[in-house]
Amino acid sequence: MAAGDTLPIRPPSDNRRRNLGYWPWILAGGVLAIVVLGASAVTGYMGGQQERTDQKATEQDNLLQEQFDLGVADLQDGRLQIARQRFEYILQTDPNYPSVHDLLDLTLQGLNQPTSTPVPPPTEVINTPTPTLSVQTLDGLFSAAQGALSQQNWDQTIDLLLALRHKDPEYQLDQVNQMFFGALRNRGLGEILNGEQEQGIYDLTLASRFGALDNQAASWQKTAEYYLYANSYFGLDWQLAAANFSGLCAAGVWDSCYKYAESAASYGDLLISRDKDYCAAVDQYDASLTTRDKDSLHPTATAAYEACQTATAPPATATPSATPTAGTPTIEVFTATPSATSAPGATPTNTATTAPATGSPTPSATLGAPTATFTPSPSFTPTETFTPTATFTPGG
Amino acid sequence: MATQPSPPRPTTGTKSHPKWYDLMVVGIGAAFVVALAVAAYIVHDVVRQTVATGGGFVLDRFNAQPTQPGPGPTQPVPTPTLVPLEATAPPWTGNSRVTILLMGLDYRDWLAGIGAPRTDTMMLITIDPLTMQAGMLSIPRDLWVEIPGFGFNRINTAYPFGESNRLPGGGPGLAVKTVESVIGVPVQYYAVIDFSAFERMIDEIGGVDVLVKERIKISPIGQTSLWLEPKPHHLDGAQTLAYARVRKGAGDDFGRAQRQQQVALAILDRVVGFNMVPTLISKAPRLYQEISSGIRTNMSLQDMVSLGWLAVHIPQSDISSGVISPPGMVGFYTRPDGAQVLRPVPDQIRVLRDKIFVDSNAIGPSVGPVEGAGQP
Repeated sequence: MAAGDTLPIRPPSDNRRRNLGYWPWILAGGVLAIVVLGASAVTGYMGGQQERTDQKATEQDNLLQEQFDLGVADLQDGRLQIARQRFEYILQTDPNYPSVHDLLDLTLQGLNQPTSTPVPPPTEVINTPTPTLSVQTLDGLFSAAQGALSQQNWDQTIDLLLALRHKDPEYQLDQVNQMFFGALRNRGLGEILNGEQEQGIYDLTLASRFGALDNQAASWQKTAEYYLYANSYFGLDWQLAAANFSGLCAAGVWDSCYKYAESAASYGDLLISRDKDYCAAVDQYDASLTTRDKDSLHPTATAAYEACQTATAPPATATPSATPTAGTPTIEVFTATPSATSAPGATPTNTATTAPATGSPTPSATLGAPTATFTPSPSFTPTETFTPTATFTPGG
Repeated sequence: MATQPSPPRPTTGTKSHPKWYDLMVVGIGAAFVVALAVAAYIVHDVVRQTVATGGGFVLDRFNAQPTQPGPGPTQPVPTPTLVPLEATAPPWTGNSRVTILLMGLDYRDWLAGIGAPRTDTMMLITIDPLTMQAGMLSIPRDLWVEIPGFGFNRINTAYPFGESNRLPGGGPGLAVKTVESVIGVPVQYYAVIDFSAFERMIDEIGGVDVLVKERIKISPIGQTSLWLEPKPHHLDGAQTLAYARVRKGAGDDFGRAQRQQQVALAILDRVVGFNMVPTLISKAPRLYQEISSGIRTNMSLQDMVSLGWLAVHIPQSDISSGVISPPGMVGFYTRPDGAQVLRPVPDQIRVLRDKIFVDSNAIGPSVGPVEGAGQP
């Protein structure tokens, strides 16, 4: 057949195109719809995330500002413990929050507690001091724990050692135990010094499972136990509270002078209301005022002094001073005489015979220091020094 | 060469449409574009709002109202707060011992409408994932303690002090801090559970079986009072709550604490005995939502599931328990204002504390390997 005889062949695509009609448009529309809806979902998700982040940040800013304002008000009004909680919370949330470190230091000074321990920011449990070692491995965990220990990050050390122990309870057992001991001992001692006595005792109890505590730790543990024992009588038995806090006040630990002054004054009130024993009450008021001067107590003390003079000295010639400063108060009431039933270790004694208590916490001026005019004879005086930097480091 | 005439072109597909037809096509296209834009906006907005509000998996603000409207004239209003003070605690690592402070609020305070209520129940629950040991320690509400920042008072006043003064962590935060200062152990989590949430949880597991040791009268909320004879009983949610709350007398706080621990073990027994763990885990998100308004906690759902999983794998023989109670651990005192309180005896409480928290602690010279411990 000649070429000219052939009919031109129509491309098949023309047929398909013709037969498809609007389907390509519908298909394109569907694809477009999916793409657009998908994109809007993605942008919505991202926008929501951003909104959530912004909202959280705003809420946190408001919260921190509110806590800051409340903390300042608490500090100004002398509610130091509450102020401390607020400032510590702010620092835990935002370690760089302006002025809070200074305010916390001021608060801690008022509370007679060390100020050199800024609250560390919340840290991740895992860190990698040596980049080549993964904390997923035993060696990596061990190395990370050593790093945390050397940085005196006791919490992290303990967490890492627990993770290590979880993976292999027998791994480097002796060294791990030494590190546990060191971290617990130092954390416990720090807590005790920081006024968290029972928490510190708990940590030292855990530490003592690994070995005997050194004199310094043991001495502070006893002091903390004795403080908590005295504390348990506060507000319930003023005589025992005053008797026990007198010894602690002489050592100048924590807020014991404040509590001693309060206990002695309240015991004086009790002696008058219950026994009409004005002279004994005068002794208590004297002890309270010499420990911590309190204007509101002066009239009461003066009245008690006058009543005592009237009762005991017929030719009452003495003129009470505005500020009673009894020269020789009866000492026996201040002798720590914990009851035999529950006193922790009866009368804790410090067996160590090292340096004088130069580094021991001393009562701040706010709380009132014991003066030379009144010196209770404490049967318990911790003489060890505790320096936060002189931490125990295990040999391993 | 002769050429053949080309055949007539088919009309299909190329025929010209009427104008109205073209307009309709254009209109449909435009409508489609508009509808697509509207749909895109709606999708964008719904997704954005869902994500911005936490996807609905965030505990609502605690609303500890009484289950049944009480006879009191006014309903208490929760302390107003600008923003929630509590935040979810750092996630549990799975290695360290976990201690949770469970608190129940005083129903009478709610009814009285005197502001933030005192805690009626305080119980520490502790689980060690390495030793697979657990413990419970009940703290009496009348314990006379120093509340950080608020002087000395009964321990059950820590919660309202923290609430009304907007302390960081609110009432639960101060309660935790106070308990830590008394017991010494670190407390990672808290959970304040209201009555309705407790009942709902008990009903969800089909009630609990308890062995009643002494004849006792209980008054379930919304039900008539009934006497429980000393024998095994199956109790529903309301009855279990009443059994856990009832006091046989004015000074029966210690007996009540023991009954609460008995109920806690009965719950565990029920969940384990009836192999309800898979069911509960599958229901967890829904349950979490349902009871969220009745629970105030800093635990995430994930931590709840992980700890629950761990708890049901601890045999009851490895769960130690104790109540801070007389004669050794507390002394009875009456204050000048007539208030009867309990003086803690620290060294005796420490003995009990050590039994529950120290002796079974993985932080010790050695610990045996535990298969799968802490792995949900």
